[in-house]
Amino acid sequence: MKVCFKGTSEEISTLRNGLETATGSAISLDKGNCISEHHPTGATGFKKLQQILGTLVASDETYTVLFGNEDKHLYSYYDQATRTAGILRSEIGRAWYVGGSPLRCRFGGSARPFYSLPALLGHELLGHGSGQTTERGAIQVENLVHGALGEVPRCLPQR
Amino acid sequence: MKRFLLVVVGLAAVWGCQGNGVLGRELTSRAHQIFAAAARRDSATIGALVVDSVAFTRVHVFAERDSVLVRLAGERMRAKQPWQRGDTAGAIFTVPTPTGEEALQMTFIRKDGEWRLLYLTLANRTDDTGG
Repeated sequence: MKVCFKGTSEEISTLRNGLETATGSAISLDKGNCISEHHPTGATGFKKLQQILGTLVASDETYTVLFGNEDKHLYSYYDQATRTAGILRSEIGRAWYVGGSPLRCRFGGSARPFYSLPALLGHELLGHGSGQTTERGAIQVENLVHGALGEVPRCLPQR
Repeated sequence: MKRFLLVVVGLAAVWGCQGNGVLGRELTSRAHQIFAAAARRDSATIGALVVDSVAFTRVHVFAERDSVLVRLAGERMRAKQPWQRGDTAGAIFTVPTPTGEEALQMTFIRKDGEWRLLYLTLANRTDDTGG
């Protein structure tokens, strides 16, 4: 039914901007900091991501997005029980992933880009939150964000 | 021409491997110092080698959670495919443990000519936590 943001006004603003960037959308919030409206900005490459966001907003469940507690978690997470996507601020611009073209990935990847907030939201909320229970599935959604933003795609784990 | 190209490619490969090797050794040495200090609960040394408060806390959290891993990391961890961009560098560090192998992701920043720890996390995220 809802996608809601939790935290201070600065945290909510940062997370909303991150989700707008991740989905190429303009997002409006209601008084409870839940998404009331979302519209495509017209930027290209975000169609699938906008569909996923639309599905989450229109579902019967409530999803929560917040900045996770750095003392309790070692990395950003999605808690299936509470449908909460927790993003660790310490990962933005510091945690990195192995990336590259599919061919380069076969040989260990060619790049080590740092994570952006939109990519982390893409992985946790749009990936795991949309029902991707495996890392591989969530990375595939994350790679939609990387692709739309012109970032290096993340290598998929070997099967 | 072909010979010339082969020589150039060969030299580049050797240079690249040496560069990787030097960086890997530097980062491995620094990682050993950090985890050896963590095994001793030597906060002063950890503080001198770590530039970020979250990373500082995590080193202590690892020491509290898994003293065997931290002791082994201080002795045996090795950098795998280290990379460097300007004053930033990183690697996955593998630690052989009695039950297999653990992997840590570490990011370093060069400060006053020395590599200091900027970020630390587990490299292998688990599916059930949705990492």
